[in-house]
Amino acid sequence: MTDRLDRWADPPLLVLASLAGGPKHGYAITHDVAETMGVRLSAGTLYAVISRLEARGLIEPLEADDRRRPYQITAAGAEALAQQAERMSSVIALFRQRLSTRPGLAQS
Amino acid sequence: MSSDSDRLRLARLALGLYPAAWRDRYGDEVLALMAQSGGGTRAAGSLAWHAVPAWICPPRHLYADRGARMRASLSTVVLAWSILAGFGLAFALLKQLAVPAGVVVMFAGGGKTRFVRIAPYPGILAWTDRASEVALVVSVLAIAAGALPLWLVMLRRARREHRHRDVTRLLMPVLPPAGYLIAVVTETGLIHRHFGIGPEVFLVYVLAGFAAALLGATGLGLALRSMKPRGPAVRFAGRVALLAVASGLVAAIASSTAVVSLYLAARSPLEPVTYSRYLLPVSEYRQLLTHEPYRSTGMLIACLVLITAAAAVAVVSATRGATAATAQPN
Repeated sequence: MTDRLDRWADPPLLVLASLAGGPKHGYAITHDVAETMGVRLSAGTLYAVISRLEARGLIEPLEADDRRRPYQITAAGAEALAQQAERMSSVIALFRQRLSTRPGLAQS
Repeated sequence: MSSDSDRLRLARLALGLYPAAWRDRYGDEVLALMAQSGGGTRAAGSLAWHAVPAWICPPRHLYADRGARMRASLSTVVLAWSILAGFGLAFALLKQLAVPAGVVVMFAGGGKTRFVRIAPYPGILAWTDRASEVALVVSVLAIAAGALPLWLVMLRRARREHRHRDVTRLLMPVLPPAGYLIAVVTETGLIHRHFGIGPEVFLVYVLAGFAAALLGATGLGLALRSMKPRGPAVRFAGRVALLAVASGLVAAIASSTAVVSLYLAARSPLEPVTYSRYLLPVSEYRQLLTHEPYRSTGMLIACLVLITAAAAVAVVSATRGATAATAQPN
């Protein structure tokens, strides 16, 4: 089951995290997510996520540049991402605390 | 043809599976991304797969006003309902054309004359048959009653405004299905029931039926998209569509139960059938249309998956349409 340990990489979260760094269009998002988070998003996954996030008001489209339309994170999106980051930080702190009690594992 | 244009062709095909509103909003962006990232068959497959949630849970912002949401819901419901009704009718036709249980059939060939008595059907068919037929009739009546006022309003307007293309689209839900039903009724009347028909002829019946139903649903969907009707007829159709889908769901569940039980019966070991002094080998017995269509596992799974997907799309879309119709002011 080790191959399922990457489930933290929820595509909506990755797209929000990417857009938190500034507005991007589809290709720039996939490139950024692959470079910085090591996850490849297909066009189908990306635009399924974009349409959901846009419907929930977490991202918004900007003026289209030719056929490519950039998106930016909204205030609600930034807040949702911050809440999720807080939750993940608590979980990661718990992971580290528990791992530190195991003999033979280096502490960070 | 270059590989780039192949890739984009695949992407366009996959995009064709999405709802029109989704395609209009994101289609160009997706194609630009596919062109830039060089996505191949796998990317197109992923794009096609994500069309399913786009139908089941269409993003609300793509249907800003309730009228647009109701029209989109109606188009989807009619399309998914046509698929469900197509399966229901195919099953009813199969039962109609199959050799009835208990009948003695005579085979002549190879210098011998042989007889076989058709084994009884599984007992569960007694109630699934009745349930599926009643539910299917209710569903057809509901869809006809719900669509008729809207169809008349649109047809009158299309004729008044000389929208010839829309008149043609509006005739599509009527003419191809009516032509198909007349052809089937005429043809089955000419066939001697006790000898059934071959699987190839049956396949032609089924494919022609689906083609007629899908033509009808597409015509209505295109007319709704083009004419953008509003008012009480749209709201009425939206509410009645929920009843049509609910009864269609009952018909689908009953028919699926019947098909699965026939599948299990057809695959269970059969005793050779004797009549008079002749013995018919089991392999020949199974060539009859009575059990043959139910023996394929792949076909059964494919049908059940299609029925489940069509039912899910129809239920979700009809619920959304009915909700929008109820909430519509005035």
